Amino acid sequence: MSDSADILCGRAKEGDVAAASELVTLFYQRIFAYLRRLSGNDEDAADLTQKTFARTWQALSSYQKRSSFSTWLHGIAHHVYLDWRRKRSVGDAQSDEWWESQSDHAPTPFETTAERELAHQLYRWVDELDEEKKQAVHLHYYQNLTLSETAEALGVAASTVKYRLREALDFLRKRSVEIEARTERRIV
Amino acid sequence: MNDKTMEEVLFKAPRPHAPAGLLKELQAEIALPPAKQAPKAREWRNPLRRWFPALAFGVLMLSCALMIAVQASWSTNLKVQNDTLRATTADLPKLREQHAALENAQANHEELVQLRKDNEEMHSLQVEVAQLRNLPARIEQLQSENKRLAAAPTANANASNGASFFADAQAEAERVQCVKNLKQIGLAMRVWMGDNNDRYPASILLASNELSTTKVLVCPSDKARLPYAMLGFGKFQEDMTSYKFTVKPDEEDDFYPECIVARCPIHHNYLMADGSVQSVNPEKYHEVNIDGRWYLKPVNDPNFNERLAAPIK
Repeated sequence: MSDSADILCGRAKEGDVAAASELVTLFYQRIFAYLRRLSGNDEDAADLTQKTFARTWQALSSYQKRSSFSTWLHGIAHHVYLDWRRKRSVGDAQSDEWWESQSDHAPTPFETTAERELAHQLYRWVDELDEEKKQAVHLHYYQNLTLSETAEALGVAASTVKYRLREALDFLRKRSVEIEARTERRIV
Repeated sequence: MNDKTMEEVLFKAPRPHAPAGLLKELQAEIALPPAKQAPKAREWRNPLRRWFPALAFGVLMLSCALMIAVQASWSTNLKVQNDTLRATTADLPKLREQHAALENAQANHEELVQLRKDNEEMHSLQVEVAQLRNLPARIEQLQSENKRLAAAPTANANASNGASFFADAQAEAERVQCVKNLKQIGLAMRVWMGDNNDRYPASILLASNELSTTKVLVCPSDKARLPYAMLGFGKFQEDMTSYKFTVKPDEEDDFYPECIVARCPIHHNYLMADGSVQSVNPEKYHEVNIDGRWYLKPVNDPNFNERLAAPIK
């Protein structure tokens, strides 16, 4: 996919609209999903997705292929999201209904109800993380970018990404321990 | 829940689907930047422009080398000139000596030329002196001739011409004046001898202090010398006098009273050593030289020599 994306990107730089359209087809779902999880509603996510691709076409001539097209595109989406976030005070966590609805509409990997509830709880805790750790979790886990790709998209070192992810997991573990302790007290 | 479980759950996070129609909108909004135009054909460039820095540097180095070569040439020429001048300077003392010798030779030559000129001038003056010495004899001869010619018409016109009377009176007056002159000369010489061990002066001019004027040294009948009588003793020369001095200078002629001291060749007046002046007829007396001294000897007196008195001592 990366090779084909690079080829399409080269053709798009030469003005091939079909190649650009093909790139949109390849990446718009991932970018929309990334921005949807961050923005919290479909309208803003669609709007941010359009802005991301518009900025991509503007900056296409400056793309030097130092990273993969996917990484470069996620970096643009990340900056578009940051710009949007600065303009609007967004930060509200996703509602439990949204995560549940996502599980209801799509096939889920969780077999039991308990596992599904635990996953929803975990996703909500991720939204409670601070912005830097949340971005690292979204890009690495949700968008399946490698550590180096995440680092390039965020514009930080890979070690920094590792540190932020470890901090995020520690936070999630603590919250999980707290929930388990509360449950045991209720049972008792 | 351990980390691995959490990571698995996170990796399995649900992926929200994009709304329908978003793809078309995105595809419709594709606005690619204009493709970069192919680079223009390379324009022809003057190859000298590319090589200009190297050429400029080369020209600079070449000019520097040329300047160094020129300066080296100048330096060599200056060294050669310096050596030449030093060699010339080494011979300078010798040349100075030669120059000094040459100047001395030139000075000697000029002095020699001047001496030759002086010698020639002296010769010419000697010739003139010789001529001047002959002049009084010539004058005397002319005076005698003049007198002879003057006496001839006087004799012829003696009876009737009244002018001859005045001429005779003039001649007599001049003769008397001539006697007076000799008297004064004798007196002056006597005074001078009194101051000089009774020796005659070598020249009458030595006794000029004893004479009142140069007129006494010129006979009034000596017309050729009359102008000399107007001169002072400063310009008066010995040969300008009309009288002939026959005494030996520096000799005590006082011991020979009959000796002739001076004579007038015109009037035949003689100043004698005893201070007297005698006016004689030359036909009856003639001058004789005895022992270097002149005497008046009567023509008809054969015993004159014996009769001549011996010197008074």
